[in-house]
Amino acid sequence: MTADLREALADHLDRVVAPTGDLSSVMRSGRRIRTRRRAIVAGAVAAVLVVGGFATTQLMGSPKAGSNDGQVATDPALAQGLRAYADPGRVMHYGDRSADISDLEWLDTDAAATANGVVYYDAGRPMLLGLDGTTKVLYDGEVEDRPDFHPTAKADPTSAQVAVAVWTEGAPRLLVVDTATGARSISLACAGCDPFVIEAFDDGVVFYRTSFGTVAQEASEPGSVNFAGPETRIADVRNGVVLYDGQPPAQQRPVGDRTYRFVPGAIDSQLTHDGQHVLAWSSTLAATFDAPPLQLSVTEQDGARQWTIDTDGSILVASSGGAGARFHDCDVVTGACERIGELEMTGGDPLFLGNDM
Amino acid sequence: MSNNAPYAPTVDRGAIVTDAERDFPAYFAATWPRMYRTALAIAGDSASAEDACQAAFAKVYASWRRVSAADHPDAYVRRMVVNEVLSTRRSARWRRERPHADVGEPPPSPSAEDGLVERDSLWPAVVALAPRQRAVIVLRYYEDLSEQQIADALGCSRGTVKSQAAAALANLRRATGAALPEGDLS
Repeated sequence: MTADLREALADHLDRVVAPTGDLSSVMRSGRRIRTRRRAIVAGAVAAVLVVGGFATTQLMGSPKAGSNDGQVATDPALAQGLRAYADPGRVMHYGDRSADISDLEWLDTDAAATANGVVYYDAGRPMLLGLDGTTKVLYDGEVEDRPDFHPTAKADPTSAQVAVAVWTEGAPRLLVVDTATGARSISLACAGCDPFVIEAFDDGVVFYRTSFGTVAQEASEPGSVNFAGPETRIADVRNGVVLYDGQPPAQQRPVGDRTYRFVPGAIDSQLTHDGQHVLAWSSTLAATFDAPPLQLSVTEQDGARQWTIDTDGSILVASSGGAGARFHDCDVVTGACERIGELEMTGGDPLFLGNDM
Repeated sequence: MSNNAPYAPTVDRGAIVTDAERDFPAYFAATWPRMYRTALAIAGDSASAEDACQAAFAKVYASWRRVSAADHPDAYVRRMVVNEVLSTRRSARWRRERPHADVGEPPPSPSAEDGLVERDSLWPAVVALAPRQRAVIVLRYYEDLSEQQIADALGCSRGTVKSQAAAALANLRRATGAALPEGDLS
């Protein structure tokens, strides 16, 4: 009798107390899927455009607002990144806006581009310059504006979170803030941590350096891991790859369920979001595994002289041209670059957020 | 494009993220227990069920706008959970499971008056079914889905659901002696 079968299943299953689902882990994994998917979609679209060229344009027709319902067509901003670049001390271009940055300092080293705007410090206080042009305070407690305290800001490309730090109550305090909601998931004082520098933030793990070495702190967990000693400098961490300068860590420790692959590199170099290539002041990106380098179509011979990784994982390149600088957005799969803007430079070299100059 | 050139309209990324951050947790809390029990019934052990649900809900979150806009979000999510369980069970560690042919001789038939004994013998027999047969039985008799809904959830035809159901019911009859219908998802 099927009634018995129904009752047998209900008897057994309805008694089961479901374990509490790990929402934060689900959302973290979901964001990672979304980020990787965006990178793949963007790369695939670029590849089609490069290979298909004219034929693709003919097949798709000219783009019209609301004419498509696919992910790429409905989310153009999601696929192109923040595309932030600046003429130092004069104007910054980000998303679809421009901003006067004559009062903003340290954008080259302490700021970070995020999917929800630009994170920077104003007199030691972390701020978010949003996509709508408004400014939000990311920490509203008392802060001390110390001239020797430059913790930097780092964005996690797998989420909307950014890691920042303030000097308050006599010590650095690490903060992880969601730039979409303003929610804070970490607020940790680090007594005796001087200097204190945030080195990287990826997949929910903040890597910060003190005089004792590098600590890995999970944004959703209370625990931390002594990740590397002071003889190791972490240049970047992306997708399980650690780019380091100096000595390799004596002992390689996992962080939660994450394990890492260590790749040597210069301290001012960066990893692509997939961790597969190293961006080191060149349009030729070495692979972090046994593979050919990635060659961008705008090269040093074309005047390329500044590079950075954008929030969507593409590569921004500034090249000299005429009286100013030209800016390009390059695909990390094909290396194909698209010119996205130009600026007359009056304040110095072209500036990318968070990049040494 | 010059710095002063107009830009194409763009989607407000902050709003998208906010919608997902706001709506998804409530949906997750409401549907997780039921999806977990379904996953447990098909997977047969709690660790695998939890892993499958975690993986499926991560995919749901990644596609939240599409899922939440669906006519029947639960059906969409259930399909992802079931597929996650079944795809996981195809991996090597699941090959240790006993095939349904190894269920063994049926136990002595329970007395007609003792329905509880019969029901007690049905659960282990369900667990011993092959994964897809078990999925059909669980979706029909626990989730109360129609043949077409089961076909949609498993990504197969109604004919395949019918044949899987017939085989499953025959195995359950043989294993328990229960008076189950012949090849009919009634």
